[in-house]
Amino acid sequence: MTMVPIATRTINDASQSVSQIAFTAIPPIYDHLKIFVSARTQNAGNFDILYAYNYDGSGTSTSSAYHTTYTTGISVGGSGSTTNFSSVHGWLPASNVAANIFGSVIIDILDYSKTTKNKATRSLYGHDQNSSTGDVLAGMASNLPVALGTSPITAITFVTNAVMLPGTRFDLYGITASGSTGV
Amino acid sequence: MPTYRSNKISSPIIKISDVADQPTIGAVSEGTSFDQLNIAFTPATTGGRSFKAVSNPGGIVGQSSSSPIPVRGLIPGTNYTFTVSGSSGGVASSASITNSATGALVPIATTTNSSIANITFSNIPQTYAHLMLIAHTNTQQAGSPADVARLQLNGGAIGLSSVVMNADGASVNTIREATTGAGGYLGTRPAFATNLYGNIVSYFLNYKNTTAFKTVLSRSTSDGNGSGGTQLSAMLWQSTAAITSLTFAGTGNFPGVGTRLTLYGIKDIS
Repeated sequence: MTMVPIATRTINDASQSVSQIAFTAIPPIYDHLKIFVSARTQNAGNFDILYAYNYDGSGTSTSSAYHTTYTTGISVGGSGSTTNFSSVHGWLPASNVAANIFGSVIIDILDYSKTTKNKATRSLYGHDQNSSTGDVLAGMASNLPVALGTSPITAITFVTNAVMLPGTRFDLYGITASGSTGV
Repeated sequence: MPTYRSNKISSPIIKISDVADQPTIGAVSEGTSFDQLNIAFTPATTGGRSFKAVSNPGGIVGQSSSSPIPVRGLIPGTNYTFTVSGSSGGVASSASITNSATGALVPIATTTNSSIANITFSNIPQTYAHLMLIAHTNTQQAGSPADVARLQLNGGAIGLSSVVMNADGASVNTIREATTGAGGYLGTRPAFATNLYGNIVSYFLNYKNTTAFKTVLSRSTSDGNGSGGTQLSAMLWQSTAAITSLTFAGTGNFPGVGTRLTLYGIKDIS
């Protein structure tokens, strides 16, 4: 297995803060995709949600299904939908969370360019803030971008409810199944 | 009046560079970029001009006046042979070395079969975007119970808190730990049983950032045909320092046989 970096998006100062980060023209030459996200947003409250539009490069959202299971540090839970407006990849820390705390999200998309499969994604997400109030989070999520059907994924637009803050970064990698490097 | 005739006097030309520039090729090592390898060489004693390395396949050229020569534009996962030659007509080195460009995922260090309590990766290079730690281990002694694998960063366990989701095959529960000094909750090492090992995979995103606290994600799995489980944990290290060392600690020693921990660096597009 070999990982190849395709693109990186960073927010280095407040003037660059946005609520959408897009990867376009993703080359169809790899077997799988992997995305590392380190981010927080300016959303009111404890959390923001990291969505992705329907993976077709349109920059708009139609329909997606998802499941997630998570812990708040006090209890475990789950949620899901068959008609969500976008894919749900994880929860990020927001305004009420202490400064300098960023959430991590790791996303795997297998066989992203195959035209005979519906696409499934898997996310691991979490952040901790050394809190006793239950506003910490770790979980995993799976998504089926229903509207995409069996079309190949050519672009990904990540969306949050409020702007992402400086220090945020997204790294997109291609993974080849051949070769002997890595795990 | 006497006349003089000009005469040309010829002398043999000595082509010093043919001998002086012939290098001896050395080791091929990982470069700073995902598509780069560095080709070491030793110039001839009287050398000192510029040198180039050429890849096969691809004919990709790197140049430098000193060792090593960086060659970029290589395709990760491809095996290459390199030759090094002097630039002023020198004879190409006959030696060649085969290696492959590593891609974004680069093994930094591996520790195996160490009967010690803590395994530390120190002097972590600050040249990657992220880190990944893969551990395959259990507890050491026959009769030893499962224990929690702990994370220490930069030589200490202070400032690490955790939230954990745990599934043991019968139920799902959660654990929350403040900064008690125990260290981060990486996952569970299975109780000792012959040939039984658990997996723990941990991600340290943006590990060298000096303006943010560090969030570490970890997942662990083991199954002992009636015992075991899976955990997902998020850890917070309340420090803006870059991570330069990390320690994987257990209650007891690691087993002398079968343990394998590998730390990987993950490069970005730069």
